[in-house]
Amino acid sequence: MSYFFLLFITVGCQLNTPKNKHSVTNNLMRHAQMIKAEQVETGILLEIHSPYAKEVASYLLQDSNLEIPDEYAGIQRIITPVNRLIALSSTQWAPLLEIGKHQIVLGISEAGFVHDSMMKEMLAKGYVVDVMKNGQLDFEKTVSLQPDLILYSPGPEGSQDQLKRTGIQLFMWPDYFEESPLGRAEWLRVIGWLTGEEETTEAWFNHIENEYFELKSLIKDTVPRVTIMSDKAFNEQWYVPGGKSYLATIFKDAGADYIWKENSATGSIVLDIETIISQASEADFWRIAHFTEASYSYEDLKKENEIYAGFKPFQNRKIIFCNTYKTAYFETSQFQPQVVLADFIAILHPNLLPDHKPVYHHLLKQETHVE
Amino acid sequence: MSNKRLVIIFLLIGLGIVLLMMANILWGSVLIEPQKVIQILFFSDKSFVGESLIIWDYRIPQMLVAVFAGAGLAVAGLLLQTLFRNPLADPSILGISSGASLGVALLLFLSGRYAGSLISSLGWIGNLGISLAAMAGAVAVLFFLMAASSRVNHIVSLLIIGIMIAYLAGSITGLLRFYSRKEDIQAFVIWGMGTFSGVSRAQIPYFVTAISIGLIFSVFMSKSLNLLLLGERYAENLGLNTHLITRLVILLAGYLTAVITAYAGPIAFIGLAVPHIARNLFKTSNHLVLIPASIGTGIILALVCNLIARLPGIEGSLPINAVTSLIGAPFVIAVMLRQHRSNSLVS
Repeated sequence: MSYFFLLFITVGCQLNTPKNKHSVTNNLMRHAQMIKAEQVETGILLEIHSPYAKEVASYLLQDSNLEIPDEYAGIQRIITPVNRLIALSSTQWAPLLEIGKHQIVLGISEAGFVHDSMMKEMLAKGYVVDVMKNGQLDFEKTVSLQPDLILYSPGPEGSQDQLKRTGIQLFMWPDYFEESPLGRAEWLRVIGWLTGEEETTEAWFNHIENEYFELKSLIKDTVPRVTIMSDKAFNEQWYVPGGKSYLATIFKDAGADYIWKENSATGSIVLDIETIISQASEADFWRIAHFTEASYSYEDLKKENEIYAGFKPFQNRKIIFCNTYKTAYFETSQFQPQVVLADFIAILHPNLLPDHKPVYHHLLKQETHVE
Repeated sequence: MSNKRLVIIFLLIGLGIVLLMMANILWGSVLIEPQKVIQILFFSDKSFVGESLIIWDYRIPQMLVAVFAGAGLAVAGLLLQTLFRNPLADPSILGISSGASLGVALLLFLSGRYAGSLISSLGWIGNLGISLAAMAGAVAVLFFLMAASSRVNHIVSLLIIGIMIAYLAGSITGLLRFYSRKEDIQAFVIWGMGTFSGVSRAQIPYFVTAISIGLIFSVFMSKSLNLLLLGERYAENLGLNTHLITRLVILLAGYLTAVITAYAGPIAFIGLAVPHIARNLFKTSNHLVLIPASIGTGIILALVCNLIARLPGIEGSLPINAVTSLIGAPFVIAVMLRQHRSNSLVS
């Protein structure tokens, strides 16, 4: 039996990470919580918080011909601009395409879900390789691409073992765990630092920030509040966004009272259907995201579950719908929080933005099978 | 069966294993020319950095895991089928794989929920990987079974206890899964599919040694296993300490299953099917022959499945669990039908 303990120790030790010597004092980030950044003499120092542990991953982004100062000796160094990378999340490669840096993307994941036409073409021509399908990394393809860096979304403990084995430098990208819409969008500044396109991304983010605040300021105290609920059952489980999540913030900024706003979760929470009915069936609006190639209607929703038809927003035709197949919601909405917000404001308070054309979310139409 | 024929079959199995091992190294999702593979393998050519990493750090570890997992599961299955005198017994029947699943579920779902508090507060244990969590779960069940085996008098009671543990662990896993975040479930689902590629080059020596120890032990138990086949009472009359043997067999089968499940996930079917194939191929119930026969057949089945899971045209690789049954089940059915026909010819 003592052999087991030998195995315990060998596995356990390999996963330890070195401790940091320096920490960020002058944080450049204005909204993002998962990352801190500081302009230091020899480059940019980044501290990224792992959402699954207390650990912090530190990186020093610097030019190749600069010496590593002693005080940063224990910190991972990334030579910028990065010229070859694998971006495992669409929220990483979409902004790279937007700023004209598509040529540095060698690999992505889950190509079957790509919406962007340029990325589809790059995949078809073989310029970009799909290195992860159904969450499983293709080790051989990943290694043979010889990238300088892999940008990855952190998962629970132990789920990154395959990535670590490639020996390629990894860069943790927990943008998904940002609670505020502007915090998520702010990650595109990191794209700028990594690629040497800082000017473009700084200007881009400033624009996003200004527009977002401008839209948010439309919701004055005099604007009547409406209530909103979210999502539908999936495989017998009904997940709703937590009260401190990205969507909860959008709802609030768009002048809606989210039914579960008192909840403290930043991710999604699972509720049983009776709880949902008792708390949310009288809401004014109901937001649903759904992936379908076909059109979607109230009838389709009712077919999924008769219970939905009893909800007030269903009867009043106040369902706010996002087709994640037909819109690039998962790829681009992160960098357009002002557009997401505008969609909601225009639906919840139509008189505030009468000329707005919906991009991601729209009010689900009557019975007819139109978009 | 004559000794000569025995030698020939074993030689054929050995040859098959060597060929399949080579095929597993040559074949992968990235094409590497055979000449390059030979240069990397035998001349440690440093000019192919990426290819050499793929061969040494990925394909060879994967091939070795298939070899030792195939052998280990086959022996574990054989041991349990003999002990319970039940042709349907396999390594998952004692709840050991379910215990491993529970361990992994606890790790993945709780590390998400109590981020930075519960798991990280455990210090270096907080850094446990999936394999370690699986091992912990499997060992916990194994210890419980050992304790139970000294309390119950009948082997069937032990079998029922094992199945109950499997249900219990399965339902706790289901509950954890129900209440966990959507995003955290994926890693668990992937682990549950089983893979031979989850062991890194650095961990390979430990895995190989751990399984080898179990396999060697099993050979020493051949005689006792032959006696067990005669029935518990009869074996006791022949001077066998059946109580001790029962515990040893469970310990050994459990140990093999625990190590393999920890590193490769719950691999189904090999443990159930291989002993049947081996018994029919060698037409014997002598464990001195059956144990090496199961080892050889188990290795071949695992290597073939690993090869098929990465066939050309398949994006990524298929889950090993889907392939083992897909390939193995028709084969076992064919073996059974043939056996039935030859039996009826004899009668």
